[in-house]
Amino acid sequence: MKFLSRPEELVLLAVWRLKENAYCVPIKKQLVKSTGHDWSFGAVYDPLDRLEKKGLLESYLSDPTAKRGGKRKRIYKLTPNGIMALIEIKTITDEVWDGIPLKVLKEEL
Amino acid sequence: MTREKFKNPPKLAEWILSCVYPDRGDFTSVGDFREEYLEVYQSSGRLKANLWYWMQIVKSIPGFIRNKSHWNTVMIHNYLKIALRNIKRHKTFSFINITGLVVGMTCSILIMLFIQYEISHDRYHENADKIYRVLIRQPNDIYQGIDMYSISPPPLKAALMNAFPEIQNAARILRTEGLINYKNNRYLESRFFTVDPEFLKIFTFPLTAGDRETALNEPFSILLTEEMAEKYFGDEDPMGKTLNIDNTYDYQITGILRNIPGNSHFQFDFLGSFSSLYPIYGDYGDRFFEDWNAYQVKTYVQLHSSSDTGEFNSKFPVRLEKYRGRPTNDEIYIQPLTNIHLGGNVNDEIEANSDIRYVYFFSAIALLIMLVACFNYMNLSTAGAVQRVKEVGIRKVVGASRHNLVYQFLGESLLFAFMALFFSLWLVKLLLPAFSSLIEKELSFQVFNNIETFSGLLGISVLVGILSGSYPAFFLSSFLPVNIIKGKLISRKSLNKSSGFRNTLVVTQFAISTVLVICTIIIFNQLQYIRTKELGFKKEYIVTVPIQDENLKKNYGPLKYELGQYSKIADVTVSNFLPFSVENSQAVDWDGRPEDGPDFRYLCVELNFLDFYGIELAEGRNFSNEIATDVERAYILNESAVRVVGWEDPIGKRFRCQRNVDGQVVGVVNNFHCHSLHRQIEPLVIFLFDDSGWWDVRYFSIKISSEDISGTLALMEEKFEKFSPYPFSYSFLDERIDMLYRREQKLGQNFGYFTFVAIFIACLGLFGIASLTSGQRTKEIGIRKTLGASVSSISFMLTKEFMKLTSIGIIIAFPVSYFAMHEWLKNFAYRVDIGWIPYIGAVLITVLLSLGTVFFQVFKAARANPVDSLRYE
Repeated sequence: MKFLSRPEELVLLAVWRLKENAYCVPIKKQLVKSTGHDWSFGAVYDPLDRLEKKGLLESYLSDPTAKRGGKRKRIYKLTPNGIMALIEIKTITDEVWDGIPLKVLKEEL
Repeated sequence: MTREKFKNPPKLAEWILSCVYPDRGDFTSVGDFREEYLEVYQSSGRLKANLWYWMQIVKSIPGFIRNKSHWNTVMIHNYLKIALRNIKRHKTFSFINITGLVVGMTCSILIMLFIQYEISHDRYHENADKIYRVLIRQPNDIYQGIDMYSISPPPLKAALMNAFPEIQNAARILRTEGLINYKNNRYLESRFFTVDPEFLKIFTFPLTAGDRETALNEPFSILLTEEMAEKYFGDEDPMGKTLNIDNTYDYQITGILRNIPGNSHFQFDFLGSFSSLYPIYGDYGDRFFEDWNAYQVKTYVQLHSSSDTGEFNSKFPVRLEKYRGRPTNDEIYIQPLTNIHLGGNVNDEIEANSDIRYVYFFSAIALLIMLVACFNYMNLSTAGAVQRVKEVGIRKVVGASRHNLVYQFLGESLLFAFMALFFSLWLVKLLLPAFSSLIEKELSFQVFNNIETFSGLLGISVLVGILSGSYPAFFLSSFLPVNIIKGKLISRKSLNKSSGFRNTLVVTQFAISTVLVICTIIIFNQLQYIRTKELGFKKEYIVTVPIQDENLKKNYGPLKYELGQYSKIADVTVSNFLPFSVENSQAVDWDGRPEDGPDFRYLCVELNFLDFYGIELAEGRNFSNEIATDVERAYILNESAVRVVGWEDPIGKRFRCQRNVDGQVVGVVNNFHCHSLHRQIEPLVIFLFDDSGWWDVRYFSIKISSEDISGTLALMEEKFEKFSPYPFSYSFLDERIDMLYRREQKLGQNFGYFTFVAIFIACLGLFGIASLTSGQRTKEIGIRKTLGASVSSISFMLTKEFMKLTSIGIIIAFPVSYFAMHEWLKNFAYRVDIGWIPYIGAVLITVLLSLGTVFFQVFKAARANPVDSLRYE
């Protein structure tokens, strides 16, 4: 399987975390919270679209709500492939980070 | 609820957003933005939230543009490639299409240049919008059918300046001839103006030397154009030199003018100072400047500011007697400078003016020709559509929307239009000198120097592109891919509709062409009629010499004697006017004349005049030198005069004109055309001039033999110059008569050319259609032939359809051209009957041309071997 880009990885993870509520606005919020950077909508739409094309995400439309001016939400959900991808990322990341405590890196500054 | 409402993002911003996200179906993203907006609103207030929302949109613009333009270029690239491939593949049609457009555009551009030139007259003066010409209406003196005069008396200038404070400058122009001499470089100059110093303030003709403020202040100052400076001085510097005028006065040169542009309503070569007139007129000088009867100068005024024009205009006409002090019916009118050239002629114009109607007329022709060319393009592209059905189908299947296709085909026609523009610019450059000499104007053509011309040309080609591309674009884009794939190609209904449309176009084209052909034939008929009409006097081999010099009048006796010695000169006579154009009239009186009876034109002639010109008497006798009283008391009338008076038997009746002596009518001449054929023959009285009548004599007429004309002319020159210091100038009578109809002749010529062009384009189109449709019917023809049809019957069948269209066009053209020409012929009092001949001629021309055009295509199709066309079935 091909490697995902960093934003795609973060978005995929955010979708998994948010479960039933995974549509654009909370995803964005989640990303802001965990990365500390500001994310624009475009920066979220793009990885979402790409992930969906790659078959890692699937989406459906919710009922319209008044809060959104009568617009529907597009809610994303991980496909089995998506979960597989997360597992792979987690494995690889843990592998490559193995035995490197944060303290050591900071001391080298 | 109301609070909720306020939390909506700005409507406009949201609308823009929803526009750039058309593919997101139900706009979930718009909803996302709205939610985020709400949050910003709650945390930081409305202002911040709005700002945030707008920033989102602004930030997205660069990306949006990049994205859009990328895909557009890709598509344009593709469209261009396909268009060029099509041009290459269908060489004949591309050629016909482009040729039609090129020829049409070239004509239109030439006509446009002409119109631009006509409109540009006198507009280059800085104060052009503030300058007016003063006109005088003399209701009692109608000359050439017009009672408006461009001449006014000299004291009017001061009177107007006093009465109208809004006038800033006023200038008078006195136009004369002058015999100009510098070191024996001697010419008679007819474009000599004597003007007030304000002339150079009102009209901003540029000076290359001299000071425009002071150049005309002193008496005997003169300015001349560069052309004249070259003519008289060659390489010398003319400034400060002296020119001798009329062998009497020495003028000092105080300035050089740049040559007067052709688009000026007056042309001059010399400007003399008005103050010179005091010494020149001598005793009469002071009186001349106060003489309300001296209708000799032209007066122009310039206002302080252009905002006064409306009010100033509304103050006119004014009665002249307000200033003159003596009762008169004359009225003062004003005419804006920029209206003069296209306003038609008033009396005593310096140059013949044009007429706004001619501008309209040529615009109409340009438009018609352009239409014919556009129709060609529409026609051929629609007829050729079948060949592109598959392309359209594939594009649609792949996802092109209808407006994509419309853009594509419009773009293609624009491409054609611009290619045509390119060729026609080149052609215009090539043809411009010929066209300039044809219309006798110096047109210039600079595409890139003049932003108006440039944008005009671009405008024309865009218009042509859109006009000619519109129908094919909508037609082609309307095919349904389902039908194409089903093999139906085009639905029967739309095919019928399109061929109906095409037929209408062909009919219109031929209607337009036939109208033009009929008009041309009628115009030429009328011109022929004018040329050959018996005028009632002889006009061949007669040389006319205008008399400029008193010396010639004084020495007429000896001159006539010496000329008479020469065998090639048959006779000599003098008169106040030449018989084809008797212009002045006199008050006349007879027993029982009503109060408001008309004035009569008059000819003041020498004894032998009637014999000289071969004017025949209807009754009575000619003047005779044996009857002493004839000089003062004999009158000969023309038949119109007799009819106006109402005499049964005019001979011996009392008659009198301004000469204050009662006389008798001794004879009546047959009506001869003493005016151009535009006008009815008016009442005319002929009498002999006595010694005091010499001042009125203006022309010598000399009848010469047809042999050795140049020798005779040389002899005449020698004799005339013996008695007069003026150079000998002459013209032939028949040429002068032709000059009366110059405008019509030019019109006829131009009409002929443009008609040819229109027909050419129409036939080009017909040729294209014929080859296309017969190409599409090869299979049908093949089957017919195998079933036994002959070549001739198939040719007939195919030709019949085209001829049907041509005939309908011709029939429509009949009434249209009849009414147009009926109007035009009203300009002539003497005119041809329109009759049937022009119509038959036009039918023959149009039918033969269109037959010839389709024949080859049809014949080729009919001759084709059915084996070839049916082999693949």
